[in-house]
Amino acid sequence: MNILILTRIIKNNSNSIYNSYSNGIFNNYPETTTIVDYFDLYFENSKKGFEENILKIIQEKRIDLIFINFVSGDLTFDIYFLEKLSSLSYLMMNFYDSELFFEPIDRYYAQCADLVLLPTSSDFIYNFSLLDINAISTLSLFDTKLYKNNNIKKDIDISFVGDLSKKSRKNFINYLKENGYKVQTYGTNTENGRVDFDKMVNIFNRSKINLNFSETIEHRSFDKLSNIDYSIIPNIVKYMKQLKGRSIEIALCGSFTLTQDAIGIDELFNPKEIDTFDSKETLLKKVTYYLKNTLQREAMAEKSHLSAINRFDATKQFQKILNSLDLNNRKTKKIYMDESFLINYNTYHTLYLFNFLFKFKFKYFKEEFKIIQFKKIHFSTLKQHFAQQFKYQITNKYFRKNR
Amino acid sequence: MIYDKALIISRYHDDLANPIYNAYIRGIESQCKSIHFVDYFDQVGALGKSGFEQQIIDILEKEKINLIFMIFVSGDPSLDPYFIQKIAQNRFMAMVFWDTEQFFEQIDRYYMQLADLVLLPANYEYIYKLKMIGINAICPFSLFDSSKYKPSVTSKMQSIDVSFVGEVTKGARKEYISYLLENGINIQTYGSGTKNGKVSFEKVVEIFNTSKINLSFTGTYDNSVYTYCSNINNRIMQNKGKPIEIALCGGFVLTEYVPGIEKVFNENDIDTFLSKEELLEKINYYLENANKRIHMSNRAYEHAKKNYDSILAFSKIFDTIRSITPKKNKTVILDKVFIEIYNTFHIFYFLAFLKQGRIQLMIEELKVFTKNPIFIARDVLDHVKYYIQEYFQLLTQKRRFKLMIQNLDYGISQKEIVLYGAGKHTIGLLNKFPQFKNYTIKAIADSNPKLKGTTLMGIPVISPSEIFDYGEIIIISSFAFEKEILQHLKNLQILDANIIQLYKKEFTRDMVSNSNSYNSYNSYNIYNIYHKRQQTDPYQIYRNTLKLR
Repeated sequence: MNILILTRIIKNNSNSIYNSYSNGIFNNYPETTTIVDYFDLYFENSKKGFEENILKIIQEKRIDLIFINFVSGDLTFDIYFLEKLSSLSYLMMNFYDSELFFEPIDRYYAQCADLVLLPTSSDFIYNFSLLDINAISTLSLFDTKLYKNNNIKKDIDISFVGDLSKKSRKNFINYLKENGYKVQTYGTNTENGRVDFDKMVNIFNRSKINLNFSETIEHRSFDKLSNIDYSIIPNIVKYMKQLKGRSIEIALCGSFTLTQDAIGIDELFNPKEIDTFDSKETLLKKVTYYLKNTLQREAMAEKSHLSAINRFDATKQFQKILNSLDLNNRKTKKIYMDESFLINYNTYHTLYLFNFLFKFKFKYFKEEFKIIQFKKIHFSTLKQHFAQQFKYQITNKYFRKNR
Repeated sequence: MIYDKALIISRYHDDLANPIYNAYIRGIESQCKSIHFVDYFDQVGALGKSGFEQQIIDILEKEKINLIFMIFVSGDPSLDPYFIQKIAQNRFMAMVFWDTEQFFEQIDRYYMQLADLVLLPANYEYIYKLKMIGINAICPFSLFDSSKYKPSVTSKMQSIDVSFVGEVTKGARKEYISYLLENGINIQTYGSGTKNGKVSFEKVVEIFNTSKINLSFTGTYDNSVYTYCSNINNRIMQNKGKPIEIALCGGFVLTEYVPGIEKVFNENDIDTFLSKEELLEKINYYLENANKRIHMSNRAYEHAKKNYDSILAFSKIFDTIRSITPKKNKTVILDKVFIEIYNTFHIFYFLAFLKQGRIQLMIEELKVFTKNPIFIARDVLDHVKYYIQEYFQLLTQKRRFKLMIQNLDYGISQKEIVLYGAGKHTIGLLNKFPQFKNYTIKAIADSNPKLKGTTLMGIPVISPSEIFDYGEIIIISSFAFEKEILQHLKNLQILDANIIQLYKKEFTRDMVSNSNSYNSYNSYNIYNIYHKRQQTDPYQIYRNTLKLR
């Protein structure tokens, strides 16, 4: 099977899931898999060159299967180009954070797919089946070799690695602190700050209890760090809880997870493997209990470790998925379009527009300028893209060179 | 928790044009010692926003009701979510939404967030969508009053080979029907855009009874009709209630396949098709195999009677209700799209009050949408244009209608009169046309046996068979059922000369009860008040009832 993977290649594993998916497929078909970072391809070539390059690979390598591993909230691809790709080859897609981006983005792209993979709970699949789109829940898959169970001394009682700018997360952590527990926090807006992948694995290994939270993003705004525009997500999605992959990562390190409850959590692990909380009071009660009951905690961590190695290994799972595909079973795709998607698409492409402008690639700038319909655009996000690209391409390059 | 009283906030249909609302009310009524009903659309029109809301609060408090059912009209954003939040606190809130496949995203979910239980009449997939946002939902599918559907007698009575009742303009229906005709199938179609045109509920039942094969197509939407609906949801196929209605008549169902239909009936009860070729093949098969067809329709009848009769189904629904603890905190999260639709829809109420010169209520509406003044500009413009156009058309028709009523005087003022129809049309007629007070109206006839022996505005209500004992001249006081009543009177051997029809061909609308929302206020509660006191202004009546307490 000749496979083309269009994804993001993350160099230092800071977000290991993209590489995990690529490795999972690559390990099954090492000779015939081509991996392309589609972001880099677009930044280097603009739309025309980007699409020509992809078509060239498909033709030259006689690609049977294209797998697009979308970055959350990403609108790089022209939907009609995807429609074309689906006419040339079997098209498989994966969407992260679909709980958030299903309505503004994912469902539109998914119309072109022969199969959609989702790391969500299986209940979420009904969103796609209602639209007559073939989707399966794979849950989050990882390159298990990247995670190490070091069996080192557990010198941290409670830890949390993640974004602590969310108010509800802070409330949980503060409640534990108020009740006399030391909680070590790492990541955005935490006392210890952001950590790299290796450090994260080390923290999981050293922690007696690793906390995990399930609620979705609180603030509906443009995130400069990740370049994700959360303002396009409906507010009502706040009710939704996400089935995060973090508890799998913790289990892969042989550590114990105490996670906020979410729909589908039982699809990840059973109650003998991890435990859950749904309120501050329950969290406190369970933290107290598990710190006292070391043997039970370690037995649960061991069980979850074995389960995670067995069930969430990307190579093993992709073997099953790829073997189950009937590459000839492809439907003719019919695309339904809404203005809201077009607005989001146009707005997103102002990122590339300003990138080309400030890199002085005027040919590409002109090309991108023609694509964007400026009547249909979110101007607040356009301003964010302008400021961000000016900072990266002009200020940082020319004025902060020696810092 | 025991729930022996319920308040139903919905739309009341005092005819069978849309029997599903009444079927749900019947089901709820069967499980409670008493129910109170408010037609929210009429009551907002009659009392304005705050008057309506005060009325609901008064009923809930006075009657100590802790169970509310909200049965929404498809895609209707009339009600304020913050008001629903207020009445839903410490009470069990159950909600029913029709056509949620179309309106879920922009309207329904903003109300659903306040529900303790949502009942879905169609696609079960929404149970999972709602579960993801923490809302309990069940899908009992569409429920009906099975006593209104009569099973077919024998196959000998089935004179129509293939029939279809419904709109033929939607989706691929037209193409499928043409294909069948081209292939020599004797198919009869009824409903908008068909050869036989629209038919009454009774006629629909008769068609289901007399057809060998009843076709059903799954609903696909044209969301471009609504500026705010997403085109992408045109991909959704709706699991319709029509196969259930056909089955309740003992008819054989051949329906277009939709995911989930296997949860409504199994393959031994009904059959499905995916293409026009398969449809043709199956029609030919079932026309030749009458025994199989009858066997299947008998099974479908038994299944439908057991599972989709509203009384039986609500007995199970109430078990579910009793097993759920109402949410402690019911929060409201809104999005721009809902606020835009809500404000835009309220322009309609604003214009209605403006037309009626009810300044206080108009200001109240104005306050609603100036709080957060965002609108769907194109729809606002359409509303205004439509209203102006309607206003002038109505004005012309009203003049003609008034003239016609005045001309009645010459012939009937000295005679004893019976009005036929004890509904809102008659209430409107007596209120709006003072000359009727000078007539000798001896009785009001109505075919609803429950109304016999009651009074309407002080006039006794009788059954149609008693007409001869009360009067010489019969005025048909109904727009929707004029034809049926006329036929009924003829069957009673009443001479044409003694029957007066109010509607001629030139009147394409109900000139009395539906001419504006102010007069279209009828609901169980106000209706009862009318029986007791002969007042004219429903707003005043409600204010008076408040004063009386």
